[in-house]
Amino acid sequence: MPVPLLDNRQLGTDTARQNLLTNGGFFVAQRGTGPFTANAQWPADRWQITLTGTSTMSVSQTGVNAGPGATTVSGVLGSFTFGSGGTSFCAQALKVGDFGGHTLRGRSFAASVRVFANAANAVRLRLYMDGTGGVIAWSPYHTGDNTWQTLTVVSGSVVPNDATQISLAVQLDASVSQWGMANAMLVPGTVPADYMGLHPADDLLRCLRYYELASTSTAPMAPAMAISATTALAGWFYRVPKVIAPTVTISAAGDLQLLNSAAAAIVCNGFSVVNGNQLSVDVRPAVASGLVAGNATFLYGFTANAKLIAEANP
Amino acid sequence: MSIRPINFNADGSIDVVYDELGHSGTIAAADIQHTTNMDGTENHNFLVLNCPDGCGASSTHPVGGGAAPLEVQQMFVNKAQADGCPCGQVLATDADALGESHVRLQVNRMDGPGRWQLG
Repeated sequence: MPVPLLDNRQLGTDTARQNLLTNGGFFVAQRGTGPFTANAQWPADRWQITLTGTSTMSVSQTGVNAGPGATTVSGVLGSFTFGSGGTSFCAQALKVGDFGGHTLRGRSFAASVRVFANAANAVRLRLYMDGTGGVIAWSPYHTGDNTWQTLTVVSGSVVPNDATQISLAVQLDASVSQWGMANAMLVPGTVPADYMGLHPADDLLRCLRYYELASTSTAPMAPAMAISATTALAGWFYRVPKVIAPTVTISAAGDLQLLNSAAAAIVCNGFSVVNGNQLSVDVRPAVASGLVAGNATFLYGFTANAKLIAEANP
Repeated sequence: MSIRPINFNADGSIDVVYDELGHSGTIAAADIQHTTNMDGTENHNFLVLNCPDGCGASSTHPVGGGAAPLEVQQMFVNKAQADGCPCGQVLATDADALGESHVRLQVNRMDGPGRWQLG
């Protein structure tokens, strides 16, 4: 007699499934650990603050006791003060469809997140999808008892054919002096799944699709060729192709250096982007003198503040 | 995090923030410039924002939007409508709709259909 197959609704939450989120474990924080207080900032990679009205928030990435048996895992902890019109969020949006988005249309979704709150009726999960017939679903509120609780939410319908995004958020509806989130899991179907992290290397690779540091401090950044005594052309080839062409930011030209033919440092006094796409960017560092046209050189950080950043937010 | 627009003013200047260091300020319209190609011509696919705080940081935004798609696309549209496009397809005297449609074409070419986020 054949063994009957289980469908999704018969699965237990402890049945391991693939997490659709990037950095659901919150352990990648390439922009630093905070505290973050402004609208549109990212307290952990792919998790973004949305502040509304006059509300304020302060949130940091840190270790929290939200794992199985109160073990320590990465998460975010913060405070929130509700202002007028100010329901706010810490959310991850997944682009659906075009230009490398997720193929999620026509499916329903379920999420689970470990959530902390020390006030009742202030913190809950929100699962949102846009498009014709798109819906918003909420979990029950955290009871506010100063513990980590697993909140779950199931989408009320499937993702519409014209949807462009779904997002999973912790929604803050009232002031709370401490709230947190950790171990976030988003899976297809109508049964939430307990958190199971990816291999850390895989999670980092997902994060690098959206944000990448060439280097920090005095480490090497990119190979280059001098094209005059004062200018070089460097190619920064991203470790992971970006989801779209990224914004490129440098801390300051004086934070960078090129090497002369004797491998001695020449501090940069100018920097510009020539061209770029999802795969790489051509940058043009400049110095006062000391390069030899045609020679190879290398772009390094010069100060502890040196940063060269590519950021692509779909 | 990048130096990104958060508000567009009537005189063409933009208010920006640089989250990394908590800097903010206003950049005059004349200081919102395209990058230059190797031959010295302007590249209509990129605009540079220098931190108004004077810290030396700068962000080069692609027309697709990069780190802040909605605001960056709006910045490119405003630039094309005010100054025309360095490629010559749009003049400063052209109707605003032409500038916007040109930027939308650039966005589609760079990041693909669906990336356009303005209404």
